[in-house]
Amino acid sequence: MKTITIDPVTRLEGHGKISIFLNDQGNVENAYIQIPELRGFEKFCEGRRAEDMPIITPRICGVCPVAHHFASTKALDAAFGVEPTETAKKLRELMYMGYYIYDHTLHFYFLGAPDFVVGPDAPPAERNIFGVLKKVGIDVGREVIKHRAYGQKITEIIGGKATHPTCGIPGGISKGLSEEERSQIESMAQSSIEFAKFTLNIFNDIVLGNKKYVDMITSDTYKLNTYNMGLVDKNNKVNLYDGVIRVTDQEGDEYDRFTAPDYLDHISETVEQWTYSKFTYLKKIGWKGLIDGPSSGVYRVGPLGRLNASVGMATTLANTEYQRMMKTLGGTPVQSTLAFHWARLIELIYASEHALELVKDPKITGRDLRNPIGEPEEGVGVVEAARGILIHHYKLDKDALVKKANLIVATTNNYADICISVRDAAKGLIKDGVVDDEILNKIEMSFRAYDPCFGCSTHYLPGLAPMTLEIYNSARRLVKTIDRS
Amino acid sequence: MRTIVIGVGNLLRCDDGAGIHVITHLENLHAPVDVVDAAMGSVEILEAMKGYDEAYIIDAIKSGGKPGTVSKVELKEGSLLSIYYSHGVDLATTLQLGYQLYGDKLPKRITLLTIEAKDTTTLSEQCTPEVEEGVEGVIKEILHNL
Repeated sequence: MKTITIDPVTRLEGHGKISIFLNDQGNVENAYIQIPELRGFEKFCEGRRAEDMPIITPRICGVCPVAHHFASTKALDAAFGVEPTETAKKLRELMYMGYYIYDHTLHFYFLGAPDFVVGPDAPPAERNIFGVLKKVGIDVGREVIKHRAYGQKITEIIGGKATHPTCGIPGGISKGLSEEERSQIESMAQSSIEFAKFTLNIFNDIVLGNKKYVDMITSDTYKLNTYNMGLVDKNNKVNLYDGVIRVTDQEGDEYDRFTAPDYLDHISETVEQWTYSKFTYLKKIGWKGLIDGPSSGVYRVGPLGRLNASVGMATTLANTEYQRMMKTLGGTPVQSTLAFHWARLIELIYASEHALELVKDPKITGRDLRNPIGEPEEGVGVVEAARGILIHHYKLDKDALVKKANLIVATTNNYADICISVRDAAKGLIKDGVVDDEILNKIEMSFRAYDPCFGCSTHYLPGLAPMTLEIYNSARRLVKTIDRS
Repeated sequence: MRTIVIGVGNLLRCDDGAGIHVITHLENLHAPVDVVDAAMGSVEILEAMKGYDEAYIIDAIKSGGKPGTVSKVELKEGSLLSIYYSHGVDLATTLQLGYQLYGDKLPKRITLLTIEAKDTTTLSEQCTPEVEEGVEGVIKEILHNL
C-alpha cells in the first residue's frame, strides 16, 4: 500500500495534514485529514474574570477574532441575564458586517479565485493571487486591498482595535458612534456593495460562464449529502449575528430548530483514534462515522450550510443572488462543496447591504449603550463565524470568575464534512495510482472550499515551503517527496 | 522620518507572542514609533505600512537555533520568494503584492527581525526567559537605529 501525504499548512507547530492511502491497484482506500486543535484553552480560561473573556478569546485566533469577541460577549449577556440595548445590538451587528466584508474578500481573491479564475489545472506558480491579478487586472488588486481595509476599519471604529476588539461588554457596548464615524462607515458600506457586485460579476463571467467549471462544481466528486445548520431570523433568513439555530435535512426541509442555551440537547461531540480534533454531530441522529446521508448525524456549517439552512437572504441583492444560485445548481439544498465559494460571495453582498441598512438607522448613533447587569450565572453565546456556527458557554461563580468554559468552533462543526469531502474527492480523482499536481490540487479544492481555519494553532512562518507531498511504499518507506513551493 | 513597528504572533502561545511583546514594550517606553499588532500577519500589514519611511516586522521563528537569538533580514523587492499558500497569506506574498500594487508608497526600508522561539505550544501570555532576552535585544536594535 502506498501512502500519499499532503501537508497543506506550514506552521511552527501542529500541521494540518492530509494522508491518502492507496491499495495495491493504486486506487484510494481511505483518506484522513488531521486538524490541529488548540487543546487546553478552556482550562486556560478557568479562574479568569468574566469581563476578560471577550478580550482573551479573540486571541485564540487571528482569523476570526471578531466572531470570538461577540460569541463571548453574548455568552456574558446570557450569564448576567441582560439583553444589550437596541443601539448596542445594532453597533455590534454593524461591526460584525465589517468582519464579514474583510474575511470573505480575502478568501475569495486569495484562496478561492486562484483555482477558478486562474484554473485548477494551471501550474502552482501561477495559481495564486498574482495569477488572479494577471487575469482580472492590477486595479482590481487595489480594490481588493482597499475593501479588505474598509472591513477592518469598520471593526476598528466600533471595536477599538481592528484585530483584537475590546468594545463588547455584557449588556451593551463600551462606546457609541459619532456622526462623523457614522458617515465614514456609510461611504465604506456603499463602496463595499459596488465591490461585492463587481466580484459577483467576475464569478459569473469566469466561473459560471465556463461549462467545464460548472460541471466540476456539480459533479459527484464534490457532492456531500449532509444536514445543514445555520442561524436564521424570524423569517428563516440567514442572520450572521443572532437568531435561532435551524437544521435542514437532505431534502431542504426543516429537521430541527433550537436556541443557543439548548445546544447540548442537539449537538454532541465525539472522538476518533487517529486525530486530536473532536467531531460534532446531531445528537438525536447519532454518530455513524464518516458517512453522509439522512441516517448520519453529520451536518454542514459555514456559508453553504447557512444558505441551505435558510430560505433566503434578508437583503434585496443578496436574496436575488441566493435564488439564482439555488436555481442554477438544482434547488435547495445545494450540496456541491465547491458552491461554498458562490455562497460566500452572496454573504459578502449581504454583509455590505446590511451594513448600509444598519449605519443609516437613526438609532445607530444613540447614546443608550448599556443595560444594567444581573447576578453572574451561566450563559451560552452563539454567532455565525465566517466559517460557521461558533458557540461559547461559560459557567461563572458568585464573584463572576469563570468556573467552566466550553467552546465549539466552526471548523470543528465542519470537521467530519471536510474529512468526507477530501476522501470522496480523492476516491473520485485518483485512479490506478496516477497522482499528479492537478489531481492533488483538485483534492485540496474540496477542503479549501470550507476555508478551514487553523488559526487557533500558531501562525505560520514566512518563507517556508507551503506544501509537501510524500509518497510511501507498502512498507511505509518514503519513496518520493515533492516540494510544491 | 516615520517608523512603524509591526508585531506578528499569538500572544497566548508563549514565545509565539514575542512580536506582540516587543510592540507593547515600545508603547510603554513611549518610543517615537507607531506600532501595530498584526496577529496573523496577513495583508493588513500593507495598509499599516503605507506612507511610512521605515517598517520593522517582528516575528518569532523556530529554525533550530538557540532560543532567544535575534536575526535581521532587510526585505527588498525582487528578493522575495513567491509562495502559494493554501490558507492565509504569508509575508513574502504580502510584500510582493504590496510592491505590485503600491510601489513607492511602501517604506524605503523594511526590516524583518526574528526571535528564535523555544516554546510555542504552552498556553501562556509570557515568553520563556531566553526569548524575553531576545525581545529586549530587538527593542534595543530598533531604538538604536532610530
